[in-house]
Amino acid sequence: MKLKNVSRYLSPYVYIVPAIAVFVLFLFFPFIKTIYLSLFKTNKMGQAKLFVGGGNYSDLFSSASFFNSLFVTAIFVLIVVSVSMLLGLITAILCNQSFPGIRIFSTAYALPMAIASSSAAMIFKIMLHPTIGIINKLLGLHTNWISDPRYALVCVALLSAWLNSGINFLYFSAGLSNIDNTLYERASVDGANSAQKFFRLTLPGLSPIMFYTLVVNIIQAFQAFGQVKVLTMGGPGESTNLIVYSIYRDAFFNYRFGSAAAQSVILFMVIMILTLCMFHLEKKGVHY
Amino acid sequence: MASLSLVNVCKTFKNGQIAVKDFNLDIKDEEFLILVGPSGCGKSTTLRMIAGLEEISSGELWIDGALMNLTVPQKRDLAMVFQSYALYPHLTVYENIAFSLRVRNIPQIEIEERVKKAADILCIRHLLDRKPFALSGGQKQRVAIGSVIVRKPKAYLMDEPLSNLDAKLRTQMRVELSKIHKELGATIIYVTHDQVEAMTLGTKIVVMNAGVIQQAAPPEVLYNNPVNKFVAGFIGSPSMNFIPVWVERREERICIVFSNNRLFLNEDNAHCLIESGYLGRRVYLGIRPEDFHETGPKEQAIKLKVEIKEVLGSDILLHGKIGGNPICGRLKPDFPSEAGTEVSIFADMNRILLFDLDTEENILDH
Repeated sequence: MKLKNVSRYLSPYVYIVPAIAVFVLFLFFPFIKTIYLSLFKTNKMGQAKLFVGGGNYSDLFSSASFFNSLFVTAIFVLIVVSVSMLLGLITAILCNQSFPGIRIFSTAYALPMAIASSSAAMIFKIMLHPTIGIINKLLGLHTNWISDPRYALVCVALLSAWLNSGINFLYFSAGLSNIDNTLYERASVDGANSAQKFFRLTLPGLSPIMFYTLVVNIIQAFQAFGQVKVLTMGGPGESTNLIVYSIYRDAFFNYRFGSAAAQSVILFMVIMILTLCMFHLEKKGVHY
Repeated sequence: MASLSLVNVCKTFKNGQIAVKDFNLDIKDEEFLILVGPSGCGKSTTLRMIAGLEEISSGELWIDGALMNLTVPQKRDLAMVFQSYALYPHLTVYENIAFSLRVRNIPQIEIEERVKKAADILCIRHLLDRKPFALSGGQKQRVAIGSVIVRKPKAYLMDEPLSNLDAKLRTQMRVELSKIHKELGATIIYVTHDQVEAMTLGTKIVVMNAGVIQQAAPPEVLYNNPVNKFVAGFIGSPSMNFIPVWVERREERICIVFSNNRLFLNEDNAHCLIESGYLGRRVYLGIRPEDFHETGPKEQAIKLKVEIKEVLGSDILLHGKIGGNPICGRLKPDFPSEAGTEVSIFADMNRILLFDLDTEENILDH
């Protein structure tokens, strides 16, 4: 009888063991290991050798390169999030009509999400080439887009924005289809023009999906890596040395796994604080 | 307020389906016009064409003497209540009501004044700070009406605004709407499939079927003198009974004969049938349930085998069949009858209608 009770008590937990095991192995363990490593100096194999406590963190906060990384990342996130959301929103609104061939446009606008960031970066590299690139040919310029510190970050950010715009298009399309068409009809009879309908109906109606998209986009932008690796390798100088690329460089070029782990923890903290702030602000600006 | 005129208005959808055919109607200033008909008869499409939400395939729409076919809804100066209420979910009741004024850049003081006045008329002042999700069906419906009466448009359009309410609330709101019509002196075009709503609210009713106007007349004319079998059957609850009958001459009088029953017609009706050449032919007899009585002359008696008896309190409804045709009679509650028994009920021969068997038009059209 007692054994039966015990098995009844334990059986629900048995069902969640596989999921928990995967989470522990691939999420919790690396996460805790990263925090652990951030407190140590490591050898070239990434093994913790010397406990330094907050030493790695204090080194980072006195490093101009780290602050440059944070600054560059902030600019990058700002451009990527604003441009990709704007692109997604505009394309979704354009495709929220019904006319022949609409599916071709929808597919074209959603396509970037199906392209690997490194492949897109390769294509952009050719397009931005100073002599054979189509961008210079079209604009009649001879600018070295990727090698010029003034343009490199913008180029990488615009590529990332275009890549993210595909999934944003899908999110916004779903959001738009959720807005009852009768509301637009009522607004028309009420006397609202197109701009009034957009600002007074569409934007508030999209606010829940817009909030979700904003959070996802910010997290995605902070984690951009492939396009930087292929397009600029963090350069020229450190003009595109985003924090994730800086972590990669510290860990796998300089073999400073402790410092890289500390940067990862700081990145985690930044994203977490930003997300919490946004969830706090959500109550004010999001209409459900 | 304004007068509207629809001239040969047609609506054909892209798939070739004809929703409205040759719709001709003049709507006078301050008229409470009801568009009524079964589902899919084109009444909502007609209303949407007036609002500008649906393109007019052919024909003309005139509002106050101005052709409106190509005018966008924003410029038609109409107000519309939708079946689903169409309240803006992110706005409070106050802002919902004020929306049409805000988009017209009306000063805040005037908005405040008008919203509060509309809220007072509809008794929803205590709801002004709520969002639509926190309202009951009846409250939403009031807010939807508030959103239109806050303006002074040329006409109010209402698309089945009471259809989502329960029976009690619907009755209450019908009275409210009648009051609002009188208070505002408004031109109202109201769509419904509920003929009770149509009869109680409208000053003029347009009965539609398959996109075509069957009859446009005041409620009492529709009830007493329908132009055809469709209108006769649609107006009235329970609906009119129809029995195919023979028109014959017996004992020097004109009578109608069906399933061992014989009813003598009054002089006027008999004369009308002879004049129209219906003697010896089959026609439809139409008689309303309330035109059966418990007593009467023997020659007006009909034998009815009661299948179901419905007790309504003030009346009873007896359902049965005569010659395979379903018959319903509304009688006084003390009339002795039980399901399974045969009773004699008496038809009011001054109230009967007769319809042509082929065209289904009213033969006794006065």
